[in-house]
Amino acid sequence: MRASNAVKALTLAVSVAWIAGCSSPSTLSEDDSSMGGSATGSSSNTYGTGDASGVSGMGTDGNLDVANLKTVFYFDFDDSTVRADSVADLEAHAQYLASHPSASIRLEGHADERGTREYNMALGERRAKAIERFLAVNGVSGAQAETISYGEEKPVVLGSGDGSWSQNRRVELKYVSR
Amino acid sequence: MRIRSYILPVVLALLVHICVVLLLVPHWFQQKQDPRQTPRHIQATMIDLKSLATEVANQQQIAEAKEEAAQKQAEQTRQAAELEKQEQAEQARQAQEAERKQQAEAQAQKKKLEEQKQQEAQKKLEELKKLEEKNLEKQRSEEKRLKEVEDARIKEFDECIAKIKGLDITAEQKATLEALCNSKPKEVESAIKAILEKKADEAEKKKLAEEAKKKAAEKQKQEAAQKAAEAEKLKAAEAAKKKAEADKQRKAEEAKRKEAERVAAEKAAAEAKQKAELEKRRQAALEKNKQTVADFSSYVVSEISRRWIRPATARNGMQATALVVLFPSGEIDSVEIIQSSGDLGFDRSAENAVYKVGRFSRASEIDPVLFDRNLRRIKVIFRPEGLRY
Amino acid sequence: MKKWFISAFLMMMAVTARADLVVEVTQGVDAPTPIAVVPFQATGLALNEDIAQIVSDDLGRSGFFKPMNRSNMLGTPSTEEQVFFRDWRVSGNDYMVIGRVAPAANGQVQASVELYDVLKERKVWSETVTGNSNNLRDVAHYISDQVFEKLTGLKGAFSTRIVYVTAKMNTPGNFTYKLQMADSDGARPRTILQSKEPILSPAWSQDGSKLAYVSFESSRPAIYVQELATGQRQKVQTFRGLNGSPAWSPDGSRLALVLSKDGNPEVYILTLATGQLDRVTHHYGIDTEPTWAPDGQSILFTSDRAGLPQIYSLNLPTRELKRLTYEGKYNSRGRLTQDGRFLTMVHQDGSGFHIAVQDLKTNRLDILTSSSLDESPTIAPNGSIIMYATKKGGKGVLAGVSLDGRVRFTMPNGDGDVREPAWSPYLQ
Repeated sequence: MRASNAVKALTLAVSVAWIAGCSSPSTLSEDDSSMGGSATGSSSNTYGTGDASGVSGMGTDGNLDVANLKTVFYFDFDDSTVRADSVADLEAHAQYLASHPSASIRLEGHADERGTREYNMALGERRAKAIERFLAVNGVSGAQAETISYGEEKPVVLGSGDGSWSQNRRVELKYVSR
Repeated sequence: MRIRSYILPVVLALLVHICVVLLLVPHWFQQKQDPRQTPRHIQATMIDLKSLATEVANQQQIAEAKEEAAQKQAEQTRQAAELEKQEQAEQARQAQEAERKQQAEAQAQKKKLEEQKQQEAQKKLEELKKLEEKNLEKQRSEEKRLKEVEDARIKEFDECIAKIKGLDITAEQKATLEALCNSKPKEVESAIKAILEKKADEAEKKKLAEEAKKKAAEKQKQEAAQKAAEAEKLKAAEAAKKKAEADKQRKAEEAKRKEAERVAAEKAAAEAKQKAELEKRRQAALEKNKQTVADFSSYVVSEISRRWIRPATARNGMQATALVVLFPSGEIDSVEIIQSSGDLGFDRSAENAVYKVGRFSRASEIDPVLFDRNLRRIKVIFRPEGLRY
Repeated sequence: MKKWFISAFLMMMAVTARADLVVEVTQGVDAPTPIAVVPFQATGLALNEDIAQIVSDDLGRSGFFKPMNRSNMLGTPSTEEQVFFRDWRVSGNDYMVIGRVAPAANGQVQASVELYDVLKERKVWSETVTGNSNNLRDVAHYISDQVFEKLTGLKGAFSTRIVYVTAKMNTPGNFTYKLQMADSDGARPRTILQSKEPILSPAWSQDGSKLAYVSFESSRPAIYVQELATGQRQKVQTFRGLNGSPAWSPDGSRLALVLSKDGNPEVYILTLATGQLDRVTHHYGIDTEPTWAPDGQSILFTSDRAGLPQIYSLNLPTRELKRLTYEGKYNSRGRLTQDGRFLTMVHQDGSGFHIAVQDLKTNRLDILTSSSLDESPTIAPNGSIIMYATKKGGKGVLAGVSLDGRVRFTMPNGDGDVREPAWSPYLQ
């Protein structure tokens, strides 16, 4: 008798605790950068907490206008950490994908022209995978995202200079099916 | 109603409630402190990707059009330039052809002449060389012969004197004989013979005369005794005179001898001095030669270094040796790699460097004997320093 | 008597033995060897190629020779009798080449060539080469090879080929890519593969019969092996993620390549006959751009396991890893000369990305270029020239530099941006 009572009490306590934990705000830790090898550039951003700015076009009750979201995400030189200015839109994409399991995307990773081609292929892949991991942590399943790297082969701007290069260091998110 | 049985459950219930409250308290307080900020006014611009793309495309089209126009112009000017070039080339070619023919003829002749000259020069050089050698030979054999002659003469003279010395003849006769030794040593023998014969004859004659005298002497013993006494006196006086004379002569000869010795001693001293001087001069000459050789060495090195093009295949550690043989004028007789570096380009560059010098002109300023002995054959070791690899 | 003594003494001195003088030359001028290639005389035909000019350019590009400028030549002799060596010597040439071209049987063309040593005034080599009037360039390159070999002892690499990729933009984001092959001087290009998707990393097999390359035509990167003679090709086993950087083993039986199927880019060795895959690197960093050492016993590759890309060498039997590059913060895409002594690479310093050479004997590093966006160095089979891709005026072009950095040249413009050159081995 007493044993079953104790068990009941314990179960109650645990369930209360769990409910309490669930409703506290989410704090995603920055383990993206640690998994991406040791590519620490001069300005590697560990992104801050709960910076829910730029909530462009995000409705209040899940009616997401995905077409208006950013689909190109930029990176710093020789770096594959997800930048702070990419987070909000990525989260929105993640939400959409999580709530539409039949939707799938293709993440195309790119690098700027500096350095050697095959190494840049690997860099492009690293960036695409960084984005993929971010989305996964935000609820996107692996089957929904495909990654491919084009290295420096498909620049979006053809110039040589910091302006052009920063435009080319990117991952493009393309919806294969909505 | 058993109160006791209810106490435990109540306590447990209370505990549970306290735990619950404790668990919920932080959550409540956290909720109060939740920094949920109000959405900031967004200054985002909606980017229409499609319009951006068309803009970029427009710009690129303009750029392309410009490029095309520029290319067309370039094409036109290039074509015009090419036509001109072709015309000019034709004219130039024709003119060149005519000139070339002329030049070819002249050059052919020139070359023949040069070749002839070279051959003659070489012949002459060879002849000169032969002559030089012959002369040297002649000189040497001549000297040898002279020396031999002298040696023989001296020997003869000494033998001659020795013969005369032991003779029992007068000093005058000796003197005459000695004079002969100097001039006609071969006749001394017969002269000695003649003198000795003469002496023998005279001895004979004396004997006869003495016997005659003895007979007459007994007759004139008494007178002879007186005369003999006087004659003895005379004889004694004569003997004394002769002795005095002999003594004088002896003394004179001794004096002469001493003179001769002194002169000989002086001569020896003078010779020794000369030898010492010679030695000094020889040393000085050797030093000078060493210096000349050293100067010439650095001259050779600098002349070759200036012209040595180190090839692209040269590597640190490579080494080649060339044997260079020169004419006394400094011109190159031959160049030959006697130790290869193992790299063909390197060996060739070494040979070429020497050939490019052509003539080591300073060689002609050097004493030919010294040059011939020390500087005619040169081993040049090419050992590059400071190469990149 | 005295005089006799003195003269006798001196005579004795003169008769003593002769000695050789020994000197050492250590300094000189580091420059290419000057040579004059006199325009060939063509009798009885109009040629569509200037053989002497091709030979002259070949020799100049190699960095070993400085060909005389035609406009400075005072005459154009074409037979030995017409040559006055003194003139050519005075104008600074160590060697000279003369030649005559005449028609031969069967519509062919005959080139009689002679190579002279101007200083020794001697003929070094002569030959009569027969060819067709439409492959005179091959005749010219053959002559260049012979001249090169006779004067340096090394085999000439002028009759080899290069392969490269061109990219032409049709509309923004829309490109046409071509894999092309040309002569070692860039002449006579022809297309081997054309695609709307990127092509990269072409690699020659050691026997010169096959090319491996990466193509995105199947919408994912895949490695293909194409037989040059027939044009037939085969896609090598493809995996998820990256498939790239193919490199032929010296015996042609294996390909080193880069796959990211196991989580991140690693180097693998694929045995072509059996399809067996052997994983060679095990590190979470990027390992890519493998190349084989000439003895086939080790593989060099780029890795950023230390932070930024550097070049490492892995001994295959012992699996011992050795880092090769320590200067500079970025060194990648290493390629070795055939004797294994020199390693060329892309090296980044404060002024950009350059082609550099490291002497593995002394570890001395020399930067050979001053342009700042250089990549893809490839070495001629005789180690004389490094060709690479760079940007000139915003356009991708191929350029070359001699191993010692003395001579540089740019290849003729291609159709669009040119990149990814790969130099063939000696071809039969």
